[in-house]
Amino acid sequence: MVKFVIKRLLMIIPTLLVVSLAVFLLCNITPSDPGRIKLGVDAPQEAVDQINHELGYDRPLLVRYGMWVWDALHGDFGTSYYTNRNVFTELLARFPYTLKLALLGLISAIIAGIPLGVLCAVKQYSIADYTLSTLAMFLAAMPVFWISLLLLLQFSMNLGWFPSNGVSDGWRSWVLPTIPLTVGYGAGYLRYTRTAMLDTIRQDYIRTARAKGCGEQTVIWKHAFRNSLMTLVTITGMSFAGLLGGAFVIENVFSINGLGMMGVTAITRKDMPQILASLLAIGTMFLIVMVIIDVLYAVLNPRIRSMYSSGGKKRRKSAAAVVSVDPDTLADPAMPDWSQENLALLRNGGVNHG
Amino acid sequence: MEEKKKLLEVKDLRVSFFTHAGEVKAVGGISYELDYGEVIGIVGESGSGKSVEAYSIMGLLQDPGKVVGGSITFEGRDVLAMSKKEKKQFRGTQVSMIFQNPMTCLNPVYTIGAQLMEALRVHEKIPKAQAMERVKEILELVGITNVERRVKQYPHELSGGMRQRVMIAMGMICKPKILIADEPTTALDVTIQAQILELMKDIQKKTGMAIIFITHNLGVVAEICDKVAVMYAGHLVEKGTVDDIFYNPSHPYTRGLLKSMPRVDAKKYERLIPIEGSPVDMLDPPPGCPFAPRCQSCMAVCTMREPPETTVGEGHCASCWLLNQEELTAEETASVKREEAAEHAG
Repeated sequence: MVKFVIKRLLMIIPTLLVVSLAVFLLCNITPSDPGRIKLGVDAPQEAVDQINHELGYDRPLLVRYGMWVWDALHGDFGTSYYTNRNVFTELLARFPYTLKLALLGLISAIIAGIPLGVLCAVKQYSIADYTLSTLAMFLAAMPVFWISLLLLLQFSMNLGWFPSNGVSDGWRSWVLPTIPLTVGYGAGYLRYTRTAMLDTIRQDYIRTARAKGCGEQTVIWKHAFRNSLMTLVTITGMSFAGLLGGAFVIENVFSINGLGMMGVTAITRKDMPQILASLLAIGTMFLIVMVIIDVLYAVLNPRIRSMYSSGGKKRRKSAAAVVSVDPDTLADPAMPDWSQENLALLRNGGVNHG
Repeated sequence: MEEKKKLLEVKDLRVSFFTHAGEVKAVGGISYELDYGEVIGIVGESGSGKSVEAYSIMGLLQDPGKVVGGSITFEGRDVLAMSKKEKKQFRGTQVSMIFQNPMTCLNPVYTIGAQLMEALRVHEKIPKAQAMERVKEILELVGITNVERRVKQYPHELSGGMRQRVMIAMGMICKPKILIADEPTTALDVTIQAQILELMKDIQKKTGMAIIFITHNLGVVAEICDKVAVMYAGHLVEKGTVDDIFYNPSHPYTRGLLKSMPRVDAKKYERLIPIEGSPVDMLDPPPGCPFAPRCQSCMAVCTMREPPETTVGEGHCASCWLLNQEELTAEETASVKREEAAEHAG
């Protein structure tokens, strides 16, 4: 198990290299002139060329990429073309805001979505179920930025209950930015929980639990919900990517100086070191979450756990194939059926080796 | 002689499923009795309502299934009128159940020991260590070796036969008076089937509990049961002792079943005789006897009126007009060909 975690953590490095190359190439599809950006339109061409030379912009693309990688591996992510500040220190200063926003959104979405989802599943086809599922579909369909703007308009502009921007006002400044994430992802959680619970609640072992004489609450939470957790963990991994993306938008709407803000500003200014650094930071965060999810799978599912801890190489290999999740597939949070496929995969995989 | 309460009395039980397509009368009025320590086999083909009947005893009927009539009495108590709390107590301690597919009936995320312990501790407030001792004892009783290790294992680490043994242990751990076994050997291979049957027989002898054995395998019935009830399309067509059913089958369906069974002493070229036709559409059952469309000796009356239950011998009853012919008019006893009966029904 420990070996597996270390292996997965080390795998992050090559993945990040690929990500950085992709970002680097994308940014260089259009010609860029950092010297001009730094000095302004009126600066003499010689000075601009001088700066471009210092930054290595007169050399081939791949050489520049190599230089960047070399520096990055030594902990030097360069300085911003605009502010001339060290990108890494700036990153560290902004990172907590984004993390806080994403976690607040995630936790409140879980608190709101999961219990209601369980309720919908247990009382399937009741009025509560119809109302909540329809409402959830409606809420999940609303774009984050739109909800944000509506909230700003009503609670900040009209009523003045919460500040409209910044994070200087303690907990009050976090209320409005959290709500759009809660609404969107909470609605998603509700629907996923409902589906997962409906699936497990029809399993034979639930009938066994009832036949034993377990109370209804025990049947629902200890037996059904515990088995639905696998799906929910998968969903959480997926939504974390979305949450980071959502945080990008929200940080801009509410002017929170987080990673998202930094990334978006950097992209509009074509500030290469900052673009690379902020995207890599988000990527790293996401990949670490993925490793955590994989570990959680093993904690939750004894079949996967036993694949890690015992058996020959073949078994371990198949275990990795079963649990490792392709980040590209995960990047899109709006893929409703993926979880089911994944679950089926897990089950089949488990059965084959069980 | 003092009046003894019957262990279980099922009277005219009717269960229906209310689907979008209409009411499906899965069980259409069946009655039987079960005494202490008796083993009754409920036989019938798939969809004949045998499992549904068992679920209604346990109170495990799932929507849209509902008991629409009749009564189930357990030691004088009305099972259908029990409150939720009483029912919870009833399951496990009085009646427990083992199921068809041992592969999916155990919760994959808990150890065997934990699941057995839960079954015990739901009903008896005893400390964990003590409960674990009981769990180990009962696992040894059902023939599981290496118990210390097994209790820490998860269901996926056990074979099908072993899981079924665990299920049996779970069913027995609170010493119920009735164990309902819903096709417990169907999902297992033949050698394991024999082992499980042997085990159940053995346990029945040791504990003296009554067993309701639901199966479509007449061989299993002959092996383990005292009494047999044959079900067809939600009706009990014949019931009696094992000897009655095997040596003196009185209903054409029972006879058909016995004829379609392979025999060891059959000649090489002898073919099995199948029952022609297919089971009735439960959404729209024909009037009269449900077996009429497939019956070799179908009479006019069979397609019109349901046959009454007729006593053939002591404790041996069958529901068939053939046994009541003297009461009928000549017109009613006119034989009807199978195709016509089927047409009539359709």
